[in-house]
Amino acid sequence: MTDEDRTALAGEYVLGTLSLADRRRVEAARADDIGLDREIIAWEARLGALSEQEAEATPSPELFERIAAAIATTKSSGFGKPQATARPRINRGWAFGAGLLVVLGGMAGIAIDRTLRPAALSNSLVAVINRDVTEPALIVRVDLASGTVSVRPVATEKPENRDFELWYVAAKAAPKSLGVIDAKALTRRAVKTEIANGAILAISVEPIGGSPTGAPTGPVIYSGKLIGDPDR
Amino acid sequence: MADALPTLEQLLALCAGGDKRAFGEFYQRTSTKLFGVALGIAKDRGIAEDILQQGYVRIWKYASSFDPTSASPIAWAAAIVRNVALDELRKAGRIRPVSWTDAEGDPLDRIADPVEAPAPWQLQALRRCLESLEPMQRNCVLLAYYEGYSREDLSERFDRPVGTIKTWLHRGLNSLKACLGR
Repeated sequence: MTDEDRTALAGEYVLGTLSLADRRRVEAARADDIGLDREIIAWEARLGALSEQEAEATPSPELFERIAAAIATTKSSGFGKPQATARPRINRGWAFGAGLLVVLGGMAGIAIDRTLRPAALSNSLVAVINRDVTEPALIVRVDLASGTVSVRPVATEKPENRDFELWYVAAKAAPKSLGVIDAKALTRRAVKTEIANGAILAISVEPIGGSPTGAPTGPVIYSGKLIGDPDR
Repeated sequence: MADALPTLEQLLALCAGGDKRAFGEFYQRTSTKLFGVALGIAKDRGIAEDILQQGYVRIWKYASSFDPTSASPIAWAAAIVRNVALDELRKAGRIRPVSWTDAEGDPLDRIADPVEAPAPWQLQALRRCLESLEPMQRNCVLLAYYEGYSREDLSERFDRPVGTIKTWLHRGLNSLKACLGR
């Protein structure tokens, strides 16, 4: 598919000119084709201004009761596989976000890949924290000897009036806060938590100053796994 | 005080954490706009309400996947509602009575001039770029977006083969993207 074909297909999907069968094909294809997925998201943003101009209309007052009843039995935040939502979950970070909420709900542990070879000789662990599968957002290095963690932002985008908070997530344990981090500059601090190879680091969006509850309250937007640093 | 009002973005973040009151407020502040979006495509209040219900359930379920860096909350939510509406429209297999005529005016007029506030730059840029398209390409894009016209509906409306409509859409969308430059 050429770039122009991809642009047109994604654009037609968002415009809605495709048949139902073609809509389903595009939704299946975007799960494997990150370029197509990005182009769909881009079209939703490009054309979104048109919806902001749509004439308003008031639905019947009972509608909210029906919706409230429907969500009473529906969990928020992406359990299961979305169908024809604005965005399928192809992104490890978001998929992890759903996993994290499962942990918080005390329902199940997240599956941590235990097949990773232990880096017995490594004195330092490193995690590349991704926004999506291709673009690193932050690099986190844990120096086990000195007990310090350093977080180097590479390409982060932080909403205004919010802070990023770094979380350490060991298998089947509640996330532990490693503190609020600077989204633009290197953050270095001592860690008291025992840090294990193969655990997950995640970054959530929190109110200024960090989560008021001690557990993540906002969406997890970046995550990555700690592995032995091959350079050390 | 306006400052104390949470933004739609903050409300979505709270929804992602399971806050149903935040969801109620998000509904209060967005439902007339999103109902307009659903009604524009469905043309029937009952169907549009069913669409809106499905749409808000998805908004609740997938609030954590909202990315403020790629779209505004209303654009993200409108895309969800439009997707439900388009699926329902295509499922119903309804061949739209193509009643739109030139007498109803240029679909570009649907992009109302803002009365109170200056148009957000995205809208100004979009309007300028739509105006730069060939008229038929522009009409196809706007009738599809606002009215939910399929290729076949457009073919009937403009009395041109579906292949021609496809070409117009292909060229129009690529020109639009190039003009918007993002």
